[in-house]
Amino acid sequence: MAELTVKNLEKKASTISLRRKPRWGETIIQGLLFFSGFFSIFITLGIVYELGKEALLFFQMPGVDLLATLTTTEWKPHVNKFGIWPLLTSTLMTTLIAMAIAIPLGMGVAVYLSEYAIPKVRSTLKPILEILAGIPTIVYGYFALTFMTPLLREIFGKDVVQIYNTGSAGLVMGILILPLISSMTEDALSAVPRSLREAAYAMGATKLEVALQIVVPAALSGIAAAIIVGISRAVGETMIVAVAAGAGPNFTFSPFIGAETITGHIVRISGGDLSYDSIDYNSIFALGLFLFIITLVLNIISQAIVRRFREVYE
Amino acid sequence: MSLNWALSLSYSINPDYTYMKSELTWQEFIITRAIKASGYSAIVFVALIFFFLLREGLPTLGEVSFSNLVSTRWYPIEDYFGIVPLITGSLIVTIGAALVAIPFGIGTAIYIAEIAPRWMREILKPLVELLGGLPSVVLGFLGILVFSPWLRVFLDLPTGLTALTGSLLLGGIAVPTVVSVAEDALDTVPRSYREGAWALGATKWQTIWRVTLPAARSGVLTGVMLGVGRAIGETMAVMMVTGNAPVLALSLGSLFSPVRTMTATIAAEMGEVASGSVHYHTLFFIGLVLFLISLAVNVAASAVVFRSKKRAERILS
Repeated sequence: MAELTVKNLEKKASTISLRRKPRWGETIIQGLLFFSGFFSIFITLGIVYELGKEALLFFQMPGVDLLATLTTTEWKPHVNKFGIWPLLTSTLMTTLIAMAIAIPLGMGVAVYLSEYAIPKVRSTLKPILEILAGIPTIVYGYFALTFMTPLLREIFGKDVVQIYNTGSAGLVMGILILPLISSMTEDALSAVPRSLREAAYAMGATKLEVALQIVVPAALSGIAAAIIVGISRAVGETMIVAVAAGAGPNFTFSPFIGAETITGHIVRISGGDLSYDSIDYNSIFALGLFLFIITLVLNIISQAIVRRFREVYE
Repeated sequence: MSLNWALSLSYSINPDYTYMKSELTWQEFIITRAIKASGYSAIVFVALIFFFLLREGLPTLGEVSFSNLVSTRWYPIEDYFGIVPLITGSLIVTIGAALVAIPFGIGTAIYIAEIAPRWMREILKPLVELLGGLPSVVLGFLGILVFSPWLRVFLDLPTGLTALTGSLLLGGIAVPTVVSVAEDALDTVPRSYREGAWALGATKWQTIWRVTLPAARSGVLTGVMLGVGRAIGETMAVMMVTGNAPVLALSLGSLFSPVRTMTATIAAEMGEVASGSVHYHTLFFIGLVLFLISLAVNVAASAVVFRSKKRAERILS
């Protein structure tokens, strides 16, 4: 904007042309931005193509049947039993437990940071929260196995809680997801215009009433999006469940029993020696595709929610 | 909606004012305390994990001599516990990932928020979020099977499992987080700021670079921190594609050779060590070092955010 000073303008006034000047630098920059936007489309399509291609090979193998995969409850690749439910229920268990921790705490953190905390407290708490997002997932995994599990065994009894269990994996996963949810929710809360708060204060509402009954409902679409992102991260989380949730598919709804999740199964299978084109190898892609579909469905739901509850200000 | 609520509140006020008020404040007291407590719960969790790492990792300092720890040889079977090659491995992969994720992520966010027409936005935003939800184990597996062979042929390397492969893959994993948070931040910049800049004759790019981006700086940096944080903490994908050779990575050339990161070392070796052994403690010590590194990065970044935010506010208010 340096050329916009009065002096420059006066100098240029005699020669000025009203036709739009081509700005090559800006055209290039916009082209680059356009390219980086489109790159993500290509990557996503590439991933879908690759997963779909290999998963198709799996379902074409003898002894594999899509219907049986979706309806039976035994996953035993050695005897050609590929029922996805035992992997799915444990994924569901860990995700549910994680969200039971992360949603209430995340909301609390976000409301506190956006509505209550003075700037100084906020500037300390936010980086600390983001540290939680940066701790290696493998450390979380062993935190679950050697800290949370003994704690659960102490509380519920050693006969009830197995060494590997979905409960401790889910609890620790909740801690991992907490910063993601709280930081996205806080962004949504602080985007609510100040005038809404002031109107409520003027009507005599207390601080808590303003926070919970004005600001939170107004930011509902952002909060819903945060929760969905959190869920899809929990579904895809790998290392914690691979370490702490146990190996071996197990059709159970008890949080105290070891059960392998979809991601945990992929890790265990891919860690071993796999021959190319074996049935195990191809099953990994089918499971990957399955995870992708879950994520896709969650995204569609979140889009619908955001559109339904979106409130426009200004 | 909010006005309706406020009206209904004023109707419901009980004539017995003192009774109403004391009950309300009593409830409020509890809920407010609960909100405050959960606000501080983050500190409890960080402290808990820090304490856990200290408990498991600190004994190393007594068991392994300091000169051994800072040596350049990691070969635990013969008691060589030099963690320097692991640190350089992590650094080179993470810096590479940040160099991919930051320009790409912010560029995509700017494109989606400022330049793309509305219909394009409706397609791009969900797609990026979908990419962010993809499990890293799936991406890592695709990295081994598709990306690293391609990179090996393309760059004519002896192996495709290199620091560069890890950087690019991790960068790709971090991009959606950066885009999602940064785009939200750009989106909340009031339209009047842009209109003011346009009225002064600024071009679209000048508006983006000098008005919108500085105004959204804090949110953009949060996105970068969350994305890079995910890259630092990512274990599985890195272990799959970086080749896992504990070699000292100091020159630019080591970008094209296998490296081993700290997280991959912990993940690969933890399953095979005896609990309480020297090796076990050293692996947790590595976790502790990693924790301290990400703490330092976070504190430094938030210091930058706070300074620049004040400056942006001064300019724009």
